[in-house]
Amino acid sequence: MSGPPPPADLVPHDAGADRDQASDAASEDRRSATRRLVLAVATVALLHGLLWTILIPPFQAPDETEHFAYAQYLAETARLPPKVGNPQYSSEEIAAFNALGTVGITGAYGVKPPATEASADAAEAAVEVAEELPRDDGGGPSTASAQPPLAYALWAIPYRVGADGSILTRLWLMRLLSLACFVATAVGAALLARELLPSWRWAGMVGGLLVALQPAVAFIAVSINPDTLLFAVSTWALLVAVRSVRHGLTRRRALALGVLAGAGMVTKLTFAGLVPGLLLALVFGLRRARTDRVRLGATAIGAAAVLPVVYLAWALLQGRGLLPVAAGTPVLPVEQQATGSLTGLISYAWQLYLPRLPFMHDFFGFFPPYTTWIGGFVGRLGWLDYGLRGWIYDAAAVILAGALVLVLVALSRAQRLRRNWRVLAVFALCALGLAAQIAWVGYDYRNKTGFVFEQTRYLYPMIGVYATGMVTACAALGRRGGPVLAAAFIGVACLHTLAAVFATVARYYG
Amino acid sequence: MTRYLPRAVLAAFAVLVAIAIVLTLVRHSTRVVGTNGVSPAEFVVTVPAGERACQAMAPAPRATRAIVMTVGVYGDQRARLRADAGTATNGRVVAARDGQLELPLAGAERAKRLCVTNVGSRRVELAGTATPPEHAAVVDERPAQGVFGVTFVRASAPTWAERLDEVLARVGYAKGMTGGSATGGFLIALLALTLAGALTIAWRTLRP
Repeated sequence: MSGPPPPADLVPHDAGADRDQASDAASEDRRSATRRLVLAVATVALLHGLLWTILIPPFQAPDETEHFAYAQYLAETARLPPKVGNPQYSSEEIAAFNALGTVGITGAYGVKPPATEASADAAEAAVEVAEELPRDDGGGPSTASAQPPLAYALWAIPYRVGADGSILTRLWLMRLLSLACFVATAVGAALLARELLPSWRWAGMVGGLLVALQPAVAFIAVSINPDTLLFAVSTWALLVAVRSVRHGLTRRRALALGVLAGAGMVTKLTFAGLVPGLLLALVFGLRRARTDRVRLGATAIGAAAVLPVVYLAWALLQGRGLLPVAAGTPVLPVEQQATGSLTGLISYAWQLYLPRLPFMHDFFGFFPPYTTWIGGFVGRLGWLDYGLRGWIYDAAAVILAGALVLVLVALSRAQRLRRNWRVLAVFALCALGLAAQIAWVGYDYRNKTGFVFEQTRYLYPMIGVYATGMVTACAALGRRGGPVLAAAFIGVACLHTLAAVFATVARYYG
Repeated sequence: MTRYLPRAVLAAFAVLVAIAIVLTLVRHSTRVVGTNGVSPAEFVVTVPAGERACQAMAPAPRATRAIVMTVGVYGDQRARLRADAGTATNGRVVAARDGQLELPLAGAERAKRLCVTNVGSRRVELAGTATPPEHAAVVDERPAQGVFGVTFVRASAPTWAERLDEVLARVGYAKGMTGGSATGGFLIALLALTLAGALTIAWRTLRP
């Protein structure tokens, strides 16, 4: 028998249960918001990335020829390149280059891929013939062969899935794996922006969309290039590092940070630049940890060691060094090579990122912060053989400089700086490590070859910090101005994407 | 009022995107309709006075009316060249200078050979890429050091809108895929979905 419910104030009140219910509801809201954020950013990144996998003709992204060759050799032989004595490319890959005119197109704006039905038929027939040629006779020393193997080992999976198809089918399947890395990068950037600006409801979405819509990032990230895995791993490593710094290290975070750091080390040597910053994050995270710090530290370090140890064992078993000699770059005769010095290196590194001082030797003849970094970020596409209209670079420089000023304004508020100094220190150390490593390699490369080495993509491991920075710039304008600037940034990003797609259509199909 | 400003900004950018697309489509595109896939990296074919360099080629795009190539005439003011599709010898003679040169070419869409005749009085160099002798251009029955690079151009530059079908089809052709412009159409759909998706998500996120 049941009567009407008693008045609420007569029901015994359990404050703890209310709090639990409120807490459960809040975490369900958070989870639901995270799902929406991930789904939205991943969808845009997926669509945009898929577009670039089709838009870029086969082998027309920087070093895609060499990276495909590495992955193909690994997939076909289960051995790591270089195989000294072999050519860089397999017979099948060379035949595909010839069928598509790859070498002629590279670097020559006026030379286009097959542009008529007849030439496409001829290319298709030649690629079919190429399928009968050896696939495992490449893997010789190349610009890629010194790199560790994780990305290539992953590409071996889609390569094997498409083993019965043509080389172009396998290339596209491999690009789809790169696309997954691009999606992961955009989602990681969104979560990082939300993590650092939790009181701004739109922070994660705007940060994620700005990465998902960045055409220069999408272009390189969907090609066959270990950079794509590096971007994803670095972005997620920074996310876990930031969470560890802010909330303390837990067992899951220690494991994740370690696995990501280990994966980064066997993805591309560039990742070494981020290691000091991640170690600092580990120290901060351990200091805030509530449980056994020694065990957590050991978990992180141990997890970080697993993949490098596997790589070490694989390389040793095969009699291959961890840093085998690379090839494929035209080196000057020894007597023409410049000799390096510490002061030269410092001067080079300075000029790479900052205005040259009057007493410094001019290494570049141009202004790298604008020409190399901003120019590349806006778009130097293909084999760096085309870009956007000149005024777009100037407009982008103004927008990025304005955003930087706003970030500085936001950070200059003492309270914010005090609250976030650990995260900023981790970011700064990661950025410094990466910048120093790029300068170190670039200085050596320049001395030995006379060419400039640096490309903006080497900075993309910090793309999550870019996303957070742009959102911080919006936040500097306050509750009313922030969303307006965020909307403008998204609008500009859409126009940027459109311009890059049109430029690519004109380059290859116009 | 400022509550609605973010959405007003997004709407303005959506309009700007549409305007940018329309402006691009009505712009005159290039006269280039294709190339023979050979980069003019170095001078590889020497044509003595009065002789003719010929090489095999896949049929040129239908709209081809001329070729553009890089030539070296050593500053000769009286250098003259003529191009033909390997059958006729009555192409229009053009005064040549060092650098890029446009030569009228009739019947290119049916041609299997491309020839350049030196009608001047001194030797002329044609730029291209070095190849083995069996693939090289032939000058007076002797193989040259490589094949010359040519760009096929049409009579006048149409707008991008007029060329849309052709450009979309080329997206597929570039990958050795025939079958019309389906690949290019898919690309347009992806672009539209990307931009519309991003603007819609931002519209919902930056709500008043």
